Amino acid sequence: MAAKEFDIPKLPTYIEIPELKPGIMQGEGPFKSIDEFQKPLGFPGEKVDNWKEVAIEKIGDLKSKYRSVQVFLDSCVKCGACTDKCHYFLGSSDPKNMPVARQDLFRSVYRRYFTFAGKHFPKLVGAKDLDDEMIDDWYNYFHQCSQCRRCSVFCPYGIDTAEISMAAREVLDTIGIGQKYCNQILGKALTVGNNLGLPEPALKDTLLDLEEEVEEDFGAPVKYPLDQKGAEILLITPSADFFAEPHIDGLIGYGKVFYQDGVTWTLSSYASEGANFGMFIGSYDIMRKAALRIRKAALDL
Amino acid sequence: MSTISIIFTALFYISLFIFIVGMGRKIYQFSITPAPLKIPTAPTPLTQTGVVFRMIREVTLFESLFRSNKWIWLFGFLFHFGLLLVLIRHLRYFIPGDLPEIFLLIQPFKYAAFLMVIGLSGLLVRRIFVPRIRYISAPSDYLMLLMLLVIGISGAVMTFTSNHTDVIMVKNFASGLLTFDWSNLPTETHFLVHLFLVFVLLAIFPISKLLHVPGIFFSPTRNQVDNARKKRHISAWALKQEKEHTVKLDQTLGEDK
Repeated sequence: MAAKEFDIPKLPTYIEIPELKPGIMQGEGPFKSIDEFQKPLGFPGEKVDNWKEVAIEKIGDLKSKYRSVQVFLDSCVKCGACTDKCHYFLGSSDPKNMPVARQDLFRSVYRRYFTFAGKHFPKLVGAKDLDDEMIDDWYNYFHQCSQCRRCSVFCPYGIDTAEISMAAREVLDTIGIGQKYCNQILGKALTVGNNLGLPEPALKDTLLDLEEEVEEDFGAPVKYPLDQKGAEILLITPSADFFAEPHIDGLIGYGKVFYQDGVTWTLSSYASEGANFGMFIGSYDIMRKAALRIRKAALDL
Repeated sequence: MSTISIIFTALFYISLFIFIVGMGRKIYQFSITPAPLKIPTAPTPLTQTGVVFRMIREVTLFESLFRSNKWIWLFGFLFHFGLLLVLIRHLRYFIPGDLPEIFLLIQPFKYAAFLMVIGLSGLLVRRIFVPRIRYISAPSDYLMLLMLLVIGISGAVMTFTSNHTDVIMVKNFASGLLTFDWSNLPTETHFLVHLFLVFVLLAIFPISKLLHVPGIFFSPTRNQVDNARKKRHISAWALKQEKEHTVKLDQTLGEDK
């Protein structure tokens, strides 16, 4: 049987800037969060009725709390320096994945409701109403940003799309349109202690297995302690280290280094996670809560 | 004084007033807005001195833009550098009386008008013909360039063609604006257009993308020192929350033993 033919993209030596294909990444965006994951984080479970007012108020609140948001919204001159810098654009050719165009989804709304020019001459300055279509675009395109900040390196004013994406996601959460992946994971991190939701017995078991395996392979009694009070070092690691290849090799390595050094150390089942998804949804408060959990674990142990 | 002179004198003060008040408000807004997160972009300066040097490189050489796109950098730099030289040369109209000899040295700056016009034309051509940039352009983006082009070209026409305007009169008018000793201005159309558009530019400065001028100095990715681990960085509102324990762990899910 002949192998199925695939259209394999060629990797050029230099990056080629694709031609624009407007709307090619138009879509529903990632899975939306539901009541169960929204409520515990303090966000409404579904799109609130007066979402428009709530959203606009939130934009005002965010821009008064974050200088980045205010300055970045005002400063862009649309020079185009960032237009070919985003890997989401280079990979998808959708013009709304150009950093400036992504920000403009937010900026056009900001201009419409917060600036003189946008209030009185919306067409002239490209200001747009916040309507259902715009919110859908927000949800879709602000979740096509990985907050890598590559664009901000190249921007002559250092405008950082990540800050705008974070702001947009927080606005979306506030009006009840959350993203399932992030919000469900935050729920787990804040209840169970890690993003994967591995409970204490599972962690303990995993670590015991690991000890056996390492002893077998290296002949040294390397320990992987959990919740050991009074240890000198509290190790916080991403939860992928507990199960995924090759991440687990990292955890094995930490254990070996500590064993060789002869220091006492421990993992915590209360806060076993180092990755803080609060950053992704742009919520300072939730980011802080996740960090406080680690602090509490450290104090308790 | 002629009616037209009165109108232009008034326009000058109005636009200058809008400019000063508007920019003052905007700069005040930028300065009171806290930056709760440390977000300097790599390569990050580790000291305040480093930040100063980075900022100097950004505003004089457009360092980031150079890394990004050589064409935009070239045209952008030609325009801004040309504008700077031309503006310096315009000082001679505003300083009353005889000028110190040093002003002879800035006389050749008049040729910077060409740099300015070349730069602006390049930017405009890119805006029209590069699909990516055309996609992100609003009418105001074209208008801004056109306006600056008309200002540049009308100025160059006065200087380099036989359509000179009465420079002494211009000087009396311009310096009179500053010393409140108002006088008539020449009424050639290209001069009036030149002047009017400059007033418009002043007036729209605080409400347009020209805010990039103060903006760059307040940009957290460019003006922050990368010392988050040496010195605690917390904004006033976040500290207040912390002191009042508004964000508590036990308010989150699950138990907080």
